[in-house]
Amino acid sequence: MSFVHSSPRVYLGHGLETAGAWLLGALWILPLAYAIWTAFHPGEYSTHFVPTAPLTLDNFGRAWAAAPFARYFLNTMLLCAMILAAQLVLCTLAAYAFARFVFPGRNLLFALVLLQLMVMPDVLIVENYRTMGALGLRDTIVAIALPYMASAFGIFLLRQTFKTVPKELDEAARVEGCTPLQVLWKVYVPLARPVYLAYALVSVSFHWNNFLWPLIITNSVESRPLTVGLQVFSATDQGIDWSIITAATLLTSAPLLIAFLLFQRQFVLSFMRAGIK
Amino acid sequence: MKSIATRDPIADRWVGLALLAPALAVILVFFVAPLAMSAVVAFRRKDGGLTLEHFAKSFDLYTTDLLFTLAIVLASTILIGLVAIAIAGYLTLGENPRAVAILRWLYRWPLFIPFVVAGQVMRTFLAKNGMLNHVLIGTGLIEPLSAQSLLDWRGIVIAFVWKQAPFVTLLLAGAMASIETQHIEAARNLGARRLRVLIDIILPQVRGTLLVGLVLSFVTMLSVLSVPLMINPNSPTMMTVDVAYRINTFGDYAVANALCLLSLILAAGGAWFYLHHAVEKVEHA
Repeated sequence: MSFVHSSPRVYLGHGLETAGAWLLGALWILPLAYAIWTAFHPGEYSTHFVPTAPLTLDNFGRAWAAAPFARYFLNTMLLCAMILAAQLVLCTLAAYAFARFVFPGRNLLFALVLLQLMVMPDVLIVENYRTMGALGLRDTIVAIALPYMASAFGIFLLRQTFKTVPKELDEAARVEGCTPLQVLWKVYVPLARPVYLAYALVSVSFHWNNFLWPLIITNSVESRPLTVGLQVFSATDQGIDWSIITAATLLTSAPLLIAFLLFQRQFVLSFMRAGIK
Repeated sequence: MKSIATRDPIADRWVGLALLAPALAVILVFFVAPLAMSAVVAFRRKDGGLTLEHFAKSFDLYTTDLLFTLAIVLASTILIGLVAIAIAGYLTLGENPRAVAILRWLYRWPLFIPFVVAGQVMRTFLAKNGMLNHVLIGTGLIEPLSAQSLLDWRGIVIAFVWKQAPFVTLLLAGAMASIETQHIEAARNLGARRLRVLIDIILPQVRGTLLVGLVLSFVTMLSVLSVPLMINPNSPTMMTVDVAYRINTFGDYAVANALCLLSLILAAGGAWFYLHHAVEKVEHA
């Protein structure tokens, strides 16, 4: 939508708007730009902006050496993949059941699922910690993943999407002789592809970022994800070397930022089409 | 032809339950049972009797933190709403394509920054000898002696707004883009200014999306530990820090559970609104 009028006043207005947008954008990006600046420059420039300051990768090298980042990356990727795979299967089946089948207690069970949306995971940490102990799973990647495998948000989002699929398509597939699982796979899943993409991005982003539960349930390098590993750098006994801290910080979030840079168009479109609202 | 309406209801019943069973098992073991146990522990004395003493102790020790948490999250939610309206409004009504493109490209970046990273970045950025003060001193806006640390409630609010505003803006900009343009064009042709169009025509139509985005942000911020832990771990602080402290330092699960249930009450109102809105939307579709 555009209401362009060509007068000097309008040109001046456009110039001011461009400047304002740059200013707001720059302010918004400043903390991230600062982190990048500090990470790529020697420590003495960490709080001084000198355009001629030399570039260095030393901070990344020192951060990488200060913590077993390779292992943390592997753990985080395994964790995200495990959770997402389980969520896609469990949430799809449950959402299909809620959207298209009538069974006793359906509304009650759906309310139970929705209750999960209202309850912050923190409320359950104490008891889930005990449960993991009873199952002998403490300090494992499986223990971090298990409580999140039946995501209420995923079930709710997919159920809302499946309900918008015309029943005629479902009926036609059944007339063709499809079983319920085939109907799900051939009719519902393809039609919900943008929702799956948006949900996958939200899920990976959330679990890549998750901190509290992994912090409590893990205590070894073999199971810790990146966010918990990053915590090492905020300990005061490490001293405050901001160059290393920001380098470690960027290492932690780099994969998500690069993925966002590469797929931001698809991400935004999926997010909007998915109707997460 | 066997239509949906004439499908065998008994078979359907079992198929539905079978489809639901795996998710239900996870929910029962890792959600329902712990939630019930959490409530039981919060209300149980050591000798097994019922008590409110853990809640009384929580209020004794942490009333300030409870109010602090509520104030921080509410203030952040309001600011997130204002920032999101401003950015999404400009993206919709902006007349300068270059400015719109710049803003659209830049505002989304914090979306993929983890809270723990946002906390870490803000911790170094907002400190007394951090980059922000150096920039302000360097540009002559403040004297070196008047530089102050923002690592307190202000730092938490700044980190929350920075991290969450893009999420709400994304939802809001999407909703604004799908509005019929005739009303907007008619108002603009009649001479209405953009701010007026935004407030009188656009916002009322995207109010639901805005509120849902804010509610999701409200609930998310209530459960964040890393940001308050890194920026402002000392009292008064947010309740997530208190919960971690009760568990790690005292092994006091009863008070920790009571604090968690109090957080739950704060979050439940917002979450109920989200569900009510979303379900109503589908039923009316």
